Amino acid sequence: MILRDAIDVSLDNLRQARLRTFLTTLGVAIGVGSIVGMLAVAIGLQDNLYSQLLRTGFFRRITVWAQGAGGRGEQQQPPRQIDENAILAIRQIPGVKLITREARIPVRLQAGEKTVNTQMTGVILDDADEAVFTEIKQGRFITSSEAREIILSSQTAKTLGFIDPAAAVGQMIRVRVRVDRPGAGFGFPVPEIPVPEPFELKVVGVVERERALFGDMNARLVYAPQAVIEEQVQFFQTRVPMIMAMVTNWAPLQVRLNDARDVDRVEKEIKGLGFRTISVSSIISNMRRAFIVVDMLLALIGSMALVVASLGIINTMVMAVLERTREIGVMKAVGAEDGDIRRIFLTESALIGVAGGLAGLLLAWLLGRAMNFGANIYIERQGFRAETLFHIPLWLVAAAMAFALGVSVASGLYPAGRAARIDPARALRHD
Amino acid sequence: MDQLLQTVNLQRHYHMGNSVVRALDGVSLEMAEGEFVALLGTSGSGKSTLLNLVGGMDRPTEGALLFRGRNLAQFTSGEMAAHRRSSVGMVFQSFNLIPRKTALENVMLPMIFAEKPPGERRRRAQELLERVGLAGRAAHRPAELSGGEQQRVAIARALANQPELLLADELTGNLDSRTAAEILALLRGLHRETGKSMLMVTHDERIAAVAQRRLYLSDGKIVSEAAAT
Ligand SMILES: Nc1ncnc2c1ncn2[C@@H]1O[C@H](COP(=O)(O)OP(=O)(O)O)[C@@H](O)[C@H]1O
Ligand SMILES: [Mg+2]
Repeated sequence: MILRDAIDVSLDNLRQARLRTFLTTLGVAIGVGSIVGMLAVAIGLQDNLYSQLLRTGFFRRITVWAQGAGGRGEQQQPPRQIDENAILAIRQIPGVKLITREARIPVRLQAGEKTVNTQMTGVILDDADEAVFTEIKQGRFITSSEAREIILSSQTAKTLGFIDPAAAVGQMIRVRVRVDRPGAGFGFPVPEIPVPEPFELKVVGVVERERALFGDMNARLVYAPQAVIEEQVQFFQTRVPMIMAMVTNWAPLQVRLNDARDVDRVEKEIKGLGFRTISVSSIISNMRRAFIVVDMLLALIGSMALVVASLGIINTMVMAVLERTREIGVMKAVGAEDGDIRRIFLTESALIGVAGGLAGLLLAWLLGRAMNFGANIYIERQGFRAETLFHIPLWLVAAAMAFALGVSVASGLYPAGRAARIDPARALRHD
Repeated sequence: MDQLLQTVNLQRHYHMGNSVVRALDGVSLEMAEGEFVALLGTSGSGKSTLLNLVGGMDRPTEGALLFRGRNLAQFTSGEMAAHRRSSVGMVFQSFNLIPRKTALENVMLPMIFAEKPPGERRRRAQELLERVGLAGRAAHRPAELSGGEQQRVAIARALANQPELLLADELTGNLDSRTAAEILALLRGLHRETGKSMLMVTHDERIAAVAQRRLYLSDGKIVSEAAAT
């Protein structure tokens, strides 16, 4: 029996019991729909979260520290400072986009009579998309890397007397570099050092504080364009070059990558050069692992519906075999082989599976569209950008169809085997 | 004439609980190619059992059943199916047509399993329906046909794959005597024209009269034999 005939005969049989076929197919559709629906929501939300995290840029960053003498474990390494050669070597690594040295200087800020001691860090405009600056509470972001502008934290703004942080925006702040302890934390003796002239910066924005990732010590950090910081560093470099070299060669580097997926590889290469590194890539892989577990659990729950649908197929097919015993006897009497009969019934359940799978995908898709629509109305009303919360990737479509087909064919095995074993002489006895 | 069929001490026993029914209890017979043989016997004498064995629908408990010298008792299930498909054609008392299929589709059914090309199936089925006098009934379903017409469709179906032997089990049992006579005339005509071998089971002497030779079965044994009168 050729496949086309098997399909014709099967379709004919399915048409014969329209209601039963419809209900069984609906069962499969609901099963497939629930699996696909659950996974699509999970995948959509995870993609969303993931891409938002990637957007922050934290995941594209590796912090590189100088390595002291000795090192841990078997690897006895010579001390490795971050000098010009080291920076050149790191720049050679493919995937590296930008290397900056964490530039942070101690400053005293003054607004009117009020002062505050804090640290000022350089902002590279490239960082504009990073989390801290997407949460500017008041005002706006720095306009250019040369602008004479400053962004305060809400805490420093308060200390400077701006009870309402909004009032700080537009004010001029007097900045004086504190030279009492430059290179604090590194333990270098500091001889007499000339003091640079104080200067003024205009407050353009106030941030609430950096995310908890950096902890509370950053709550007072203020931000100015990188050029402003470098100007000050330059002042010392021309006057006390020895000290500056000692200080800066031990200060960490920030290595930014083009793509977060390169973090592991680049981090390993930098370690290979003899430096210590810190990145958040391990956080990503942990997150991914947690997502996979969640996805599998959801798929399992969804599969329950498909198990029920599979019982439906078995029931329908067993009924069909019983009803059509005589017909099976006739087909065998005119020459059908056991395999032909099995093929006819397997084709029937496979057709139910394919139809149910397609209908289930359609169901899930419609449901997802409705969900996206509904959720986005709410999200936009809350003042956020619309997001795709429900996403059916192509692989999920393929997997769902394969699963539906597999389950339905498996469900058809027992009934088809029973049909194939029917004894024609007995089936056609008429007493 | 060449031998078509030979059985040697053919046995078919049915186990019913603790007792054994010897439906066939040592049947030995021969049939030549082109013969028209009637198998007679009272109800329960084992006629259908014998016909089913010859038709490859069932397997003997013991003994040999040679069709063209090959022993059906040793056939694999695939060989049995091939035997049913192309060596024999069966006609039943209750027609056994598939109700939702048209006359034409019913006649085409054996050719589907023989994997004949669709065009050829249709052409041959149409020819056969013409031969049995149902050219105008091809699109009718069994429920729209009289008993006699249904049996004609069944005969056409039995001939679809050009079998060497036509087997008929009480084929007029559900028909009135006039229709029965027409069906028998059709069989006799086919035999005369094509010389096809036929083995016909009946309990009715008058029906058996169309055959060339009669075998009498009683309690699973051949008890006597008679040539056409
Ligand atoms: N499948 C079966 N199971 C048990 N007994 C059977 C079966 N088929 C036939 N028989 C028994 O075998 C005997 C012969 O039956 P059968 O060949 O149908 O007789 P006939 O066709 O001559 O009327 C009967 O006694 C019948 O009850
Ligand atoms: Mg009988």
